[in-house]
Amino acid sequence: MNVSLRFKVISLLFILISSLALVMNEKSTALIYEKTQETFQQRLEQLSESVKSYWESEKNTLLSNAMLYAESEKIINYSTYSLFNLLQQELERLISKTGFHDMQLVLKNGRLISSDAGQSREVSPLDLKDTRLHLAQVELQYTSDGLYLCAEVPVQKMGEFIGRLSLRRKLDDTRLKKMARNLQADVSLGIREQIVASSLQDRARKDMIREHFRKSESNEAVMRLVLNSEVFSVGRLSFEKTVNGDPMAVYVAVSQKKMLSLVEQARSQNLAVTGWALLITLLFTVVFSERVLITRIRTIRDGANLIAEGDLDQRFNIVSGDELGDLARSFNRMATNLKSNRDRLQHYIERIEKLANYIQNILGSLKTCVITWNMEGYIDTVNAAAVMELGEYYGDLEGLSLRRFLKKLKPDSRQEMTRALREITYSESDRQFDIEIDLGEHAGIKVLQGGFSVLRDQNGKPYGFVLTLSNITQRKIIEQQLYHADKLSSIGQLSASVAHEIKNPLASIKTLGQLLQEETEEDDDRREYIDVIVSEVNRLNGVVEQLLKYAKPEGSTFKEQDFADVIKPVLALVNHEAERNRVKLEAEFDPELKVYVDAEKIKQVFLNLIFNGMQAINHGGVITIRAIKEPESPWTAFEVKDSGQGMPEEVCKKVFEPFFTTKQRGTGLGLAIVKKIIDLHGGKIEVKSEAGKGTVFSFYLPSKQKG
Amino acid sequence: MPTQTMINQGKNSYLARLLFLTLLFFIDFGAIAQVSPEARTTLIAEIDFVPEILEMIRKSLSRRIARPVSLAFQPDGRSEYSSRRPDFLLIEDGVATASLPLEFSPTPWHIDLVWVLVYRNGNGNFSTVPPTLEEFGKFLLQLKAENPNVYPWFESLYSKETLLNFNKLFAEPRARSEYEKLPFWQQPGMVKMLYRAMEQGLLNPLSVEADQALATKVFLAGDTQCFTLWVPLEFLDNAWLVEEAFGRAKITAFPGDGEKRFPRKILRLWKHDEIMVNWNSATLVSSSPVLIDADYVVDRKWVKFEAEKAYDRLIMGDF
Repeated sequence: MNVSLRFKVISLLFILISSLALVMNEKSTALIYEKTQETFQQRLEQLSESVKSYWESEKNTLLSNAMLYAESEKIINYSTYSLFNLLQQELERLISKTGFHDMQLVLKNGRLISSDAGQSREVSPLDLKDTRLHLAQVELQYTSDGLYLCAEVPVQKMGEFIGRLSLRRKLDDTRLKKMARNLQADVSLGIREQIVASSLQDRARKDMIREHFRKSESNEAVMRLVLNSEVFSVGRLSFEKTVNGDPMAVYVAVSQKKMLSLVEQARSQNLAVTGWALLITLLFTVVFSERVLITRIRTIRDGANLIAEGDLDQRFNIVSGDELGDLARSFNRMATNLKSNRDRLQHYIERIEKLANYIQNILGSLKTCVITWNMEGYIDTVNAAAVMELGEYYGDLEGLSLRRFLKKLKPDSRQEMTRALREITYSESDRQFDIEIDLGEHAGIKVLQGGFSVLRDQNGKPYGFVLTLSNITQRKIIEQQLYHADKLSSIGQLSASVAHEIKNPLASIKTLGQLLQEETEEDDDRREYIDVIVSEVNRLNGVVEQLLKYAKPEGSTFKEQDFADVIKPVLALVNHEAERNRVKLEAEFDPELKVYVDAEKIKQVFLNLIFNGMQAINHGGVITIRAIKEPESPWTAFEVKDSGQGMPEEVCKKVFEPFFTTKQRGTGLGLAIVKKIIDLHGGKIEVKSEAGKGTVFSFYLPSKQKG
Repeated sequence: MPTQTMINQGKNSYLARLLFLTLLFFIDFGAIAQVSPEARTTLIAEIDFVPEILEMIRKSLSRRIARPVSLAFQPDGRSEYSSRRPDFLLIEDGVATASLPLEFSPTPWHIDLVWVLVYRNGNGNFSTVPPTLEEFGKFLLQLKAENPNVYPWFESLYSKETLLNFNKLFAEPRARSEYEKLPFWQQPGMVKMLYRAMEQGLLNPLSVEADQALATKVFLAGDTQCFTLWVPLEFLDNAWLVEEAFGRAKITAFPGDGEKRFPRKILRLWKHDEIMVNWNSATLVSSSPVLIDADYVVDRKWVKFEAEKAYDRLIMGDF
């Protein structure tokens, strides 16, 4: 799955930054916690001092107020003039909404007026001799209904003692809660084994009570307590005693939960800030990467794609000095080099193509087969001539193994080729060889002459072979023909010599034979023998004549004449024989057809061909003689077709050889003479025959003999 | 000396009553066939009215005109009013009215104030009402015996009006001698009477520094059983009004000769010309008290020139 670079970069950055941020956050949180604990410890100490100060302040405030009230004109007057109800109302009014618990005025006559009307009563008259009556003091009172801070001051009028005014503030939960708010810490007061007031509530308060009871004998100043499942750091002070001498324990409890929550809050804030920073960083990264990195990379990528697709004129216009700029410049250089190399390559390619073309043309135009073999013994290349010559035989030549190539050859050819290859391999001697390829019954034998040569690289190391083959089939045929012709010529000459030598003896034999016939009666038994002798001598003479005709280089008289004048005498001559053999003769030719021939010899040709045809026809048939002259053709085509029994192919091949005959009787020279005559005319004859269907002799004579 | 501030402070306690009166706006009184709005009334007088007295006056006026009344007090006797234009003016008889706005006209109606002794019986009782001064004295002694630490009688002797009233009742010195042997009721003259009463522990010495407000306060607080006060005339025959104002208390003429002698002040009602009012002219008092009408001029003169002397004499005991 392909993941975009931007995604990778952003993911990596995100992971790195978030990891770093988390680590930093944890470290900072731990540090904060540690510092918090230290600070907390310090705070407890400060709180202790604060509590003491607060306590003093409370006492001073209480005392000040008491003194203030004691100096109140109304209180003094009401006290002096026994307006007790008003005094009570005034006391009540004075402390209402002040937070003081109550105020009492004990008159010297023992009447106690209290702000709480229910508390007003008669008490013991004050001992005016007691000098303490004139003292102002603050004391801690622990009664059944609570703990009070009580300020007592004398009330005097014009120096005369009237009574003592006591102003009390109850140290209850409400008061401690106010203290706790001021101190930012929970405060509890304990007298004896009791927690008389606390800013703690519910379960925490109960836990505090329990802890106070447990630690009432302990002197620990700082404790770590669990109150209501929260951990508190608690400082304990004892700096005040009640009027009864009971020490008051002041517990200052600071919840670590708050601290921890602050730490947690700080941590969360850090995380939030980190998160926001991450988000902003991500946004910046996205924007930055898009604008500065991805877009430029994309530009380079697109440009590289264009270059890859072949547009080597593509250049980047990134001018920055950073790595991307270097990359772009590298691409530009690469493109320039590629273009230059491509142009050079193109030039070389064109040259190579031209060269290849040239070579291909050469190889293609060569009539000689050129086949290259690699060292593994497989054909690498073949030229057109090779395909033409061998393609039909071998099929696809390229990639053909040497083994398969040799396998299809005749054993002699295989041997020759192998020998030549061996010699070129080991001794580098170039041995020419001929191979024959049998193309089948109808196509015949193809003869190729060739040789091997070694392909070497620049270092002279061989990397293959070249086999060149030339089709010498025609040459072989011509050679054969020449050989035959020469042979025939030799035979002709020989035959002429023999015929000439035989002719005289035959003449003598014939004369003597005729003499014997004259001297022998017909009923003589020897007469049959003599007749045979004479008949055979006549036949021999015929053969000799034939042979002399064949061998004798007769002169020819060519002249242009009507073909009708040539063929009609022939038809007249063979008509009788044709009727006798029930052979129909048909002649098809243009009556105006002119031919340039030696008439007598051509007649001989037609005679021989017609007689051969009649001999081929067993029981009736048709012999057709045609003559055709195409208007623009330099040849006049002649045809003698019979509906005889036909000849097999191997017979057709030899039918024009002298002394070749398929008949029991015959010289075998008739068609040889026909061919000779045609040759004399500068023409050509061929035969086509099919067994059971007849034979067609076609010969072509030039319309005009050359001079 | 009662001040506007003190009166305003007293007004705070009357919010409920004012509210009630305000609610009266929405009640069909019948006599007036439509909801009557609150009648704004300004009281112009030189008496140091305490809030309790003002409340009594307001209620009295409200009953008289059968309308809710809001009462503003102008103690300096000026006939101008600085607040919102009132519907009515209650003007102490004798106060100059020449400078009153023309849109105000006098009506035949007035509210009478009488100076009375307000007292609680306690375990004692007067054989006659009003008692004689001697009876009063013995009554006080009895109360003192019951509660030695309490002064049964309290007066607003700092108030010139109070001194004036005492002066009116006891101006004529009676020939007495042996001051120290005789009780206060046998002392000649107002000053010695009062001074001796203080010496006897019957009259709270603080009375010398007390104004009407304090005296009322002391009485209402229960720190005294007797004090004097201006009340509307209708209080004389209406125990309910007395109880409403003072709780379980009674009023009578200040003890003297046993006659019902009540110094009286008249507050005449002036109304704005646009105001219609139906005056409730029911008989105020069935009894026929002896009313000692104030002579405004004379009284003002005494207050201005003699009151301080009388006060100084009171301080010194008239010795």
